[in-house]
Amino acid sequence: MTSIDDAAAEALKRSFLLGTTRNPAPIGAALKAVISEQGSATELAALALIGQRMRFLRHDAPPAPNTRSPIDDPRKIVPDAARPLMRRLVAAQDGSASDVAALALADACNRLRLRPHPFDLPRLATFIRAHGDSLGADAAAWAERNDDHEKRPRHYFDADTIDAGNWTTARPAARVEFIAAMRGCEPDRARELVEASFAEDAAPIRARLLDALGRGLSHADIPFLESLAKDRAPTVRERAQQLLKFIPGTAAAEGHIRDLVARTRIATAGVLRRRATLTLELPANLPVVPPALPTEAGRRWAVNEYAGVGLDAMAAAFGLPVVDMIAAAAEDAPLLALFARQASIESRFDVLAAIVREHAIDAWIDAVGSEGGARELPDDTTIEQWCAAALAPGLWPAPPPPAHLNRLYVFLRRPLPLAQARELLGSRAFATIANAAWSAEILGPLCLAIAALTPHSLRSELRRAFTALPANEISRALVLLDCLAFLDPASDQECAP
Amino acid sequence: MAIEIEKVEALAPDQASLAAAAKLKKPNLWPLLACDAAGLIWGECQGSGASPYRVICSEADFGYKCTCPSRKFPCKHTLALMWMRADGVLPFKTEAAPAWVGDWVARRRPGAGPARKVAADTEVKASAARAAVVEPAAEDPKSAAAAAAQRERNKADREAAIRSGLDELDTWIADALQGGLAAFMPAASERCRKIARRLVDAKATGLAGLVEGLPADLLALPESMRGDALIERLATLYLIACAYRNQDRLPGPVKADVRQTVGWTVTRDALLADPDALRVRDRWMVVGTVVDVQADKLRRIETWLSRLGEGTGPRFAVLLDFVPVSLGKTANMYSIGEVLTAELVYFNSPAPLRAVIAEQIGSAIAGERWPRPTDGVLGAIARLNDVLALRPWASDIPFAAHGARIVASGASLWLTDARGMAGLPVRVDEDDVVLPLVEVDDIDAFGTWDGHFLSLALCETPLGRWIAS
Repeated sequence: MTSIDDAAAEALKRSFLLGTTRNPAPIGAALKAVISEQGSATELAALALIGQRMRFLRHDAPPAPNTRSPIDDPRKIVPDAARPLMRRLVAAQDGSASDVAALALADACNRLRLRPHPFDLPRLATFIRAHGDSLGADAAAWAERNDDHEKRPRHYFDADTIDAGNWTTARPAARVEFIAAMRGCEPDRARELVEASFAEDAAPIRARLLDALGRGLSHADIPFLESLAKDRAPTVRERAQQLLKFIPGTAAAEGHIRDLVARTRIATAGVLRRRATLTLELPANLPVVPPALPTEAGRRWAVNEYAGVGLDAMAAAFGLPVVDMIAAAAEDAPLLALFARQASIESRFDVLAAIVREHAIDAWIDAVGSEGGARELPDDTTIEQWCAAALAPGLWPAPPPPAHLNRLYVFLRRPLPLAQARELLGSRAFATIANAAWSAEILGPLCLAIAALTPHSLRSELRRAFTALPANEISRALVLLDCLAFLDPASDQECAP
Repeated sequence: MAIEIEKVEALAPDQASLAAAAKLKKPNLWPLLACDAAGLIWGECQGSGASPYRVICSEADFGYKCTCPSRKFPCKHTLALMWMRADGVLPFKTEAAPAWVGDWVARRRPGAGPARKVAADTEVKASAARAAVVEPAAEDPKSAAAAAAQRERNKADREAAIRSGLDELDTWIADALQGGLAAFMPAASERCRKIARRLVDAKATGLAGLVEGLPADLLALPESMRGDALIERLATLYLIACAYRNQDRLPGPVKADVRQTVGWTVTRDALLADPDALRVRDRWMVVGTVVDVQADKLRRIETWLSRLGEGTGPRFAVLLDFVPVSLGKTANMYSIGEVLTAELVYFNSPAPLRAVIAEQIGSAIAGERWPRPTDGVLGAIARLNDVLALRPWASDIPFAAHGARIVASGASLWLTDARGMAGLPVRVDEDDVVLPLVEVDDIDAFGTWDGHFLSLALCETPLGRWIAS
């Protein structure tokens, strides 16, 4: 007995599919090799034989594999011990872009040149999509695996290898980072690079690149920014106009200062010693933008509206030295917020420190600005200077709201410097966390933000402090601490003050 | 065995249950938390009612019981109890088990599989059955003979009904062929439902299930494969019908298998009592878990076991548990990677696979590497054919191979040998969980082959263990 040949099998299959009434099954011809008494073979017997034959022949050779360039990710995979903790922390719907735990985890991976285990990528889908830029080329490629081919970057490579020759082929976030970093040392060169490839980018990327040019603006940038008045994207046009307002001497900047002065009431106060006072007149219907509280709406509005106008330009417009201008605004929270933010933008940390220590201990909340732009503080040294100026946790009367601590983390994108972290853990504000009754909705996020902000060497101390708190309410903070401890067993990133 | 948080997460039927359990981890909600030396933990959780819910859990095999009316298994109270035990923060008083804990322990069947423990009513019935064995009532010989004769008549009636149903199945398949299978597919659901009802009437419930599941199985395949798949499935149905009609000419294991496939059930007690049943005592690793809802509204829980010992006999086993969907969500009690020492008893078959645990020794433990399979990809494919030759109606066949690779070809993934000369298409899901295996070399893979796709369940790779769930 031999087997049924392929042609006969195909003929039978065709007959069965089309119907044996109109296409009689060629049973005799097909089965003559396997059934001696062909007359006894029925359609059903033929069906059984052909079906079974197909089951055995299913295991044919695989087709040719796809050819694609492998992604070279030089990062190490996270330690095995950290994997279940990562999954617990940022699996399922957790791990979104606004989640401080996810951000801290992604930043730790980025700082330590680690990447998630490839097998965890599907389970950490939300986290990978939100923070693919910080998790290495492999994760970034995974996050974009289903994107249209045209939208995908041409290369996935590590941030360390980006240079002026290849930056246009990198992922958007890496490109923005690259331009922002170059803007700090070679502002004209950075602008020229952006200008050269600007027309080829999509509108959202063009807007982000303009954000990256926000630092170190000068008159040399005016022609390029003015040329964008005819850009096809409204967001790009608006952003360019906004940047022009921040370049002293431009018509936009002059108009902006005039507007600020017109809104500010200048008066004098004091009997024995006369001094100037400044009061900003706020719009009657201020929008409250979460996470700012209604009481903070004025501060938020002033920062959003006028931050970018130089401190010196404002002081000149008010006819006061900078120090006196700040003292004159001592009773006006929105103006102090504006000055704190502007001092941060201009890296005038002495001014920022004076505002915080002499007038408004919580001015750091305004100094961190809004979220989402290119990183404002370019390196660890600047971050430490900023923190030393803006943060005085020892003077905080109570723990700041979790949302503000989250914004602080988003601004710094790393834990606090050791000095400020130590001051925070020893502060009265921190002590009240254990002593006062907090709702779970506050306590959990508060501890999570503090965990994200605590540097490696103080995490065990923080963990001990957390033992006094209900473990089930701060479970994410505890998991984050454990996870970071595995990722970062011997961090050398923390610089002493 | 200490409960670990990972185990609690694995047992949870869904994320919401875990979140709800987290809220119950407060000492003031638990007036009683206790344990004993035998690995039992229990507690009373104050719910919204006047009396607290009573929760019991066995650390040895993660059996549990809660008096709450939740339709999720385990419920949030059980999860919270296990979680608190895993945390080790709240103290569990060591004391003698109270009567209600003792009652639960007494009702549990020795060596019972985990999912069977979730249905309290099942336990009660089992308990009642055991009691009947322990204290047999004095039986009248006449009535016993009459009952035996009645059973024989019932059996003969069922045999006749089944054969009649098989004839109808033949006619139904012949009609489908005459009309053309291409025209059959659009109306497959309705047509299959009708004949499935007839087969249920004919008491061929196993076959009815196969027919009723056919449309869903077809729809799960790419359109280009459905024609061939339909031919194969109808061919298999006819083959089973033929085998059943000719069962007296078949070898014992094939006859037993085909009778089970058609619908004759072998109860657990009957299987355990069968002196000829194949028994294998060894260490077993859980290499796959599948939870699926059947057309008959039963949740089918499959636990695939791989034998770790070197002895002869079957290398794999599958434990099947069925829980009514109406009971709510139910998770598998075993996690992939756990190792248990147990005696399994196999259902009679030419290719033994389905089994029950006759006795489990100790607790399941995790952390061991799955031993490297002896077959390469080519050898493992040959074994699939061996199983098909022995049991032509086999549906899910275990597949284990060493030195495999996963390659992408177009939009599909294939498991191949190192040179890409032999391979099987791999089932992919929308979460792309298999995708990270692409371009990983030297994979030791376990999965199940359904005739069209290989569903990977566990892989040991140079990057560590990969599991599907």
